[in-house]
Amino acid sequence: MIFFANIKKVSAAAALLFLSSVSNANEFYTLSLGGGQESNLPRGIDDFHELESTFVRAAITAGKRYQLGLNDSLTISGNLGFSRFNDLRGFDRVALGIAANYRYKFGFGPFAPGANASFIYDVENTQGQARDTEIAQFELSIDKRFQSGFTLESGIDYQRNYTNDLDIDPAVLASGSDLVNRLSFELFDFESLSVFAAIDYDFLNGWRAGVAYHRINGFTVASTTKPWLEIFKISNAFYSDPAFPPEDFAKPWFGYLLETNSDQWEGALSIPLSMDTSIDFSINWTDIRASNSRDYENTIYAITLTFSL
Amino acid sequence: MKIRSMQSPLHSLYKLGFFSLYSVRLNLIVGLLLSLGWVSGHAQGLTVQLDDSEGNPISGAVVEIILPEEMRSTYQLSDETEVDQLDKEFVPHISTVVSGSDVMFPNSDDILHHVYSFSPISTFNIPLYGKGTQNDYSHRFSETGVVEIGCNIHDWMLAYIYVAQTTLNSISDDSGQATLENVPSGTFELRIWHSRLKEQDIAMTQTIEFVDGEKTVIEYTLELERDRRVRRAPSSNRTRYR
Repeated sequence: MIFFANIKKVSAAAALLFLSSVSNANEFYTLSLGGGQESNLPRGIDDFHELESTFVRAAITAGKRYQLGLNDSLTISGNLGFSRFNDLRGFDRVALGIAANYRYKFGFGPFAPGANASFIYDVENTQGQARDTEIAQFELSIDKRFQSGFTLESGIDYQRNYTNDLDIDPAVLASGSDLVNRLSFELFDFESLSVFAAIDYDFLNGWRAGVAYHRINGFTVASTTKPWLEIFKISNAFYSDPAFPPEDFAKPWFGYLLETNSDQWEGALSIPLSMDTSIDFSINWTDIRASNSRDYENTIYAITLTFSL
Repeated sequence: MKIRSMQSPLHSLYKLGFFSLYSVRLNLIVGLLLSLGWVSGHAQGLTVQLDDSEGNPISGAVVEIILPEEMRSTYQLSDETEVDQLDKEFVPHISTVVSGSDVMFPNSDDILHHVYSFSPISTFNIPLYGKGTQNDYSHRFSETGVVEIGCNIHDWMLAYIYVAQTTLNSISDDSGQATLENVPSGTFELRIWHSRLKEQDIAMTQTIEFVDGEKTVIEYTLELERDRRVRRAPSSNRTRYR
């Protein structure tokens, strides 16, 4: 229910945003369509649990930029997106969100550095309550263009995930978990802090290549069919994973929340097809280390077509 | 700058040192063709063809003939022109004005712009203004040289105002041609400027003699650097971590 309540709130905000932007040309609308492959969707720890899937996704963003003064601006946007995972439909999700970005530019010209403060609030809905989540994200960053083509950005990012209180899960009890001293049921109730650095290079022909690195101290939701003792010891939450419905999977799958440190690398190439359209290729590789010294990995290959409407 | 072709029957004059070179990087052309049509006893024409090393025409280069001071008054007609802001671009991208001219910077977009220049010959700043405002504002460019105009809100917006000594200047078109008519007879300096010329070539000069009734055709190959600012299509956002 919390999802639908939030959907209404965010929808109202997005509608207001849309209407208020009609009278001013500082608004922007972006449509992105893409697809790709994710190598380890359940964040499985071994070959059996590492399940890959191709996906398609689409998102539309409407926003408006307000120039507050000579050096600062505020950009507000609303976003609606969906992802469909062709091989693991239980991971399909719809996301609705709003974002605000305040930018201060230190001086004049294209080489003047800038400071950014962003707040993003997303509501994500999946096929089961255990994976529904609300995400509040705060980000502080600085950026600077060093040469004609080189831009460097660095910052910190705090992400807080919230979820509904979940009912007692009979499957969890059947797996041997003690009802009294049980783990939390709420898989997506955690916080993460990351530092990041990104560098972009604009080629003369308009192509843009970028590399980004995130160091993340936070949590990861992984899934397993084997809830052994070690998992109970290192997990902060444990619940039946709705991404694996019984009608499709013979064995029950459980999600568990792990405290992790992660290194995430992303490489991207953006090729403009026109002044308003680009096609983007990206590779995102994440190495996730849990407190039991186990490593989880995930790689996402994606191609996205972005239209500025 | 490199020689591209030698088309002139007066090629031998070049070999004899008839032309003098003032730029180290200048490896002269040059084609000097007798004009097919006689215009008048004192009206000479000049056509400069500018290409890059791959043979692509270079537009937006300014060609100016530098007259001696005593001859300038006839060609010093200051004017009023405008550099508009349309669809988040300056229009035109390159302008030429004669020193002493006024330039207006109207805003035809429905959004705010913030026009500025750091260029030493003319520093100014028109803080945030929208459509229909600042229509009366004009800035006088008194010194010769190149003024780089930017918008502090939209970093890719860029315009150049070439402040010339006289009206004997022209901007190369899409075919890479810059044409000047009614050039007086005599030996004058020819200056070529492009915003993306390498630093040492930022304004190339060469001395050329204009002979009564002759049309001079010159071809240059220029080496340009990358654009300082590139406007590009939006790209998709980076992925959120999970």
